[in-house]
Amino acid sequence: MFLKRVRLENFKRFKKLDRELSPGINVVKGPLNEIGKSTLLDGMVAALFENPKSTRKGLERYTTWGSEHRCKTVIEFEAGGKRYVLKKDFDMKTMQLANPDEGREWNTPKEIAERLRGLLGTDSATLFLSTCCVRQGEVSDISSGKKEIGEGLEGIVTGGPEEAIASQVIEKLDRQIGVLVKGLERLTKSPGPVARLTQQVQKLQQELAEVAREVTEVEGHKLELVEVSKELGQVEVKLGDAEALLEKNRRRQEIEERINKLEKEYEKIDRLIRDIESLQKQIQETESALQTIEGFDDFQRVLEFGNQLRELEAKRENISGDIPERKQELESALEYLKRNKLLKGLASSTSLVIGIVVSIAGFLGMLVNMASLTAGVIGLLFLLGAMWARDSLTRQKTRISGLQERIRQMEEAMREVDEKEGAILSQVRCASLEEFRQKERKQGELVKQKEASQNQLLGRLGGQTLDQLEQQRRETARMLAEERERFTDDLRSTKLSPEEYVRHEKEVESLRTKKDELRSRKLECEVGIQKARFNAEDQAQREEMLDALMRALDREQRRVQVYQLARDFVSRARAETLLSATDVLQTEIQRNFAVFTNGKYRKVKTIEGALDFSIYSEEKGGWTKPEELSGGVVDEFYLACRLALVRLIYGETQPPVVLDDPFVNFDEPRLAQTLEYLSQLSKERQIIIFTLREVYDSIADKVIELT
Amino acid sequence: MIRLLHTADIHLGAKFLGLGDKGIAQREQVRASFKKLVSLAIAEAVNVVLVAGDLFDTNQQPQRNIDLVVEQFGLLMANNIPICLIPGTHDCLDSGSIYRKVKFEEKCPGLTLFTSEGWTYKEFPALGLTVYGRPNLSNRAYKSPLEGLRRLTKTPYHVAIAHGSLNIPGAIAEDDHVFTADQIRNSQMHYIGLGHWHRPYQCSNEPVVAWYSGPPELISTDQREPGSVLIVSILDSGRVEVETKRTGLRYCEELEIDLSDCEGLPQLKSKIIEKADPDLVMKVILKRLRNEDLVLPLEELEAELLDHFFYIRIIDQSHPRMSKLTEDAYADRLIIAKFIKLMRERIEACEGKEQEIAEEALQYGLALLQGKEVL
Repeated sequence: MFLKRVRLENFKRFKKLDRELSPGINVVKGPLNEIGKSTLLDGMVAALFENPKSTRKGLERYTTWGSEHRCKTVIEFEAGGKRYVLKKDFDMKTMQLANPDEGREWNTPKEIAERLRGLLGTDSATLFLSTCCVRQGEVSDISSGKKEIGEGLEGIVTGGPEEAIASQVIEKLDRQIGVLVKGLERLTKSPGPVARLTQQVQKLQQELAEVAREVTEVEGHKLELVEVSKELGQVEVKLGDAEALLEKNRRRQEIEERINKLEKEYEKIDRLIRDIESLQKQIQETESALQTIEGFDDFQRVLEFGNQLRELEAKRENISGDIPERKQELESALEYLKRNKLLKGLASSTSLVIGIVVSIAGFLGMLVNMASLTAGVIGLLFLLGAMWARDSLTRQKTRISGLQERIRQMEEAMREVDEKEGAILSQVRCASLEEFRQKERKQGELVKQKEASQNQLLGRLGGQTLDQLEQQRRETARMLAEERERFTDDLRSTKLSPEEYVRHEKEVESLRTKKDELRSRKLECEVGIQKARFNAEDQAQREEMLDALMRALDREQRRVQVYQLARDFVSRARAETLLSATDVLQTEIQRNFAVFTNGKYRKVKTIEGALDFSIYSEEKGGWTKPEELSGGVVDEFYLACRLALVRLIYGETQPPVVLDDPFVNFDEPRLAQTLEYLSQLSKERQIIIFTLREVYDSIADKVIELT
Repeated sequence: MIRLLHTADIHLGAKFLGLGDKGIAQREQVRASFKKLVSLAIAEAVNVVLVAGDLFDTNQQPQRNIDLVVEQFGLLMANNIPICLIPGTHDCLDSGSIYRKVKFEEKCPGLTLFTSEGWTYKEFPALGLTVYGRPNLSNRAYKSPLEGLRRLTKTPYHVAIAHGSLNIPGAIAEDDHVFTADQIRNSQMHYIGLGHWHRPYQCSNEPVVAWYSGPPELISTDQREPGSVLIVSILDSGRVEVETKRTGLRYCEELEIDLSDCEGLPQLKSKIIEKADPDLVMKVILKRLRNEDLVLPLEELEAELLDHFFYIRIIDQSHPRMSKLTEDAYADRLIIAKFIKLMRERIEACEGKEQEIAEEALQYGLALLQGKEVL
């Protein structure tokens, strides 16, 4: 395919430009920089690739400054032996590709793009510029080392803009994936979004589980509280009834007991009062009887008299009992004396003198004869006997006189007694002691009776008066009536047998225990509810947060999957493309390079699947990297690679190659070789060289001046 | 004339999965709308408030929601407005029911809570009205909630409340407390206040008027209108008139955007912002074919647009315009061409989520190989 004509109207600096091109080498010259060479190239690119219908603001820059209308372009080219005219009106936003020879036209951007792909090999300005156009700056980047050859070439093979290199795209994706998944496998201070979100999700899930558990527990407590409260209410009612029944029974029992007690008390008091009344009556009767005993009205006096009489009687009795004894004694004593003449004799003074004399004689006789001792002793004994008899006689006489006196006294006393007795009896109007005794006995009995009655009365009264007792009786009767009134039919009907009572008591005890248990459970529930840290609202919030986090995590994980897939497929596409390209490239580069270096370097090796080259250097005797060769050789090698790539990429379509004075650093021999190469190349494809210099004129098929 | 306020599906305590951290705010709004419907009942001087189930979203509630209900029912009673309430499906009368944990009738004099298994009623002699109710005993059941509904008193007017689904063959699950139009017709009621569906809907007209009231506030993302309640008027003749009154603040909308008309992100954003409303829960679904170089950073987009809505969610159901991405777009010796070819094969070989990931990977890879900064 080759360009035949380019017409530009209102295109940047060109109000109108019309230039024809030929197959082969076209040299576009201008004496100065800024003459429009780049503008012409832009015009050619716009004419081929831009879409007038596009709303892209970049199209504005094509319009000549000050012009009211946008640019128009017409480009004529030949491909596959057919002529084509591509017209574009950026003002009217129309475009047309025509094949005048066959009368065919294409008017839509889509159709035209499709045709261009087939004819030119691409419909992408970017691709065209990055493959078919070799600029000066690009070459200088390679030779200055700003860019690696492989990098530069890969950019072209990638198919995007120059800066879009597949290996770098892979690196970018790897980096981005790394950022996203950072911290997934190893803990790190600043994890990537996936790890961070995963941690947040896990933490929130744990939190949510805890909250849900607590909420469920609290709700369980609430339900339990309702049930327990209800059951507690029922138990309290039952307990109340049971306690009431027991209480009634207890009260009934108490009331019954009190009634019994009061009845007994009443009876007792009543009986007491009756006894008292009886005793009082008795006492009265006794007193009346006492009154009837003549002379015995003064009881105390009678008592005294009685005592006196008893004393006198006792005395009389003593005396009368004693007198005979005394008289008997006296008789005895007199009889004794009368009978005991010995005693009298012994007791005489004569005996005494005898005794004395004998004893003295005896004892004095001892001086002469011891045998007189016996006489002494006998005399002593006789003395002693006389003394004793004397004493005894004395005593006896004393006794006799005593007895006599005593008898006299007793008789005297008897007389006194009789006298006194008589006096007393006359005072109490008794004829005799017997009568006194009878009266006294009667009185005594009556008094005893009365006393007894009075004692009984006192005892019965117990320190109280009869009025008081009657008051008590009335009071007791009142209390009894009250208690009877309290003993209602209801109480009567609640009577439990002892067994039933015991059973009820046990039931009450059991109900109380149950009530305590229920109260305790209720308190536990209330505390459980009170202490709850979380409620259903907290749970709902956390579920919402978790949902949002899960969605965010899902998005990030999806992003990772997307990047990973893109990375894998870019990597695969790169490997496959480079793999398939290396053989062809190697041959083509080798051929081109040999030409550029005049056969100095004939062998080039490429690493399979990579744009990595080695050049065999005869000088060095081995393979070397292109960058290790001289600057000019590097440029040549790069150009050899670029040209090889164009052939590789475009295959049969053979678009024109545009060279923007890339050989400016070549020395003469090298340049000559290159020109020769270009001449050969021009036989198969159109070459357009933009230059300030004359050096290409010799090989040019057409020189296009821009002035 | 008898005036009733009919509501249902208040769902106090509802969770809002899908609203992220806005769930709390919406839960508060549900509470606010509940208060609003009580204020409305007082302002409209209705005779009775009917709550046809699902007052609570679950049987586990924070104390503040219970206190709110007690307080608001107290307000109604202070204005001589009794309440009739049935347990629904979310707050069903099972063993763990909220109505077993809290003695609402003790705390709220004037509240009639229907808890007996069969139909029971509450008579309002001064109004000549009998209200019938029956609780839902479980979340799912095959038994119809209207089964056996008949007049049991001699009052002039009869109203029932029930919670379940009107039978739509093939569309309603059999165990969703299903009732039929015939059961409505044969019920002998003047009006049946229904709950369970989340929008106002008239199930039946003459001779028995039956309506779903819908919830008073947004509780699910299929609600296209703000929440409302029904003011039901039973005229002396027995004719029933129903009026909808708005009580809700927020609502949902689903916006489908055809990306084949979208050149780029700015255009997409402006289409979405056209619907901006701080009370709107917006769901944007991106559909059809998009430019292959249009990369959609959904999270960033949602974050950027969130200020214009109460909440926004963007779901990408679009596909890159694969027809443009033929290998012919690039010379086949190029890596980019090979990449497209390999990715297309992969996309064709898988389906569902895997396919979506592959399509996105193609977009990212392509954009990166074209030198665009999309990471």
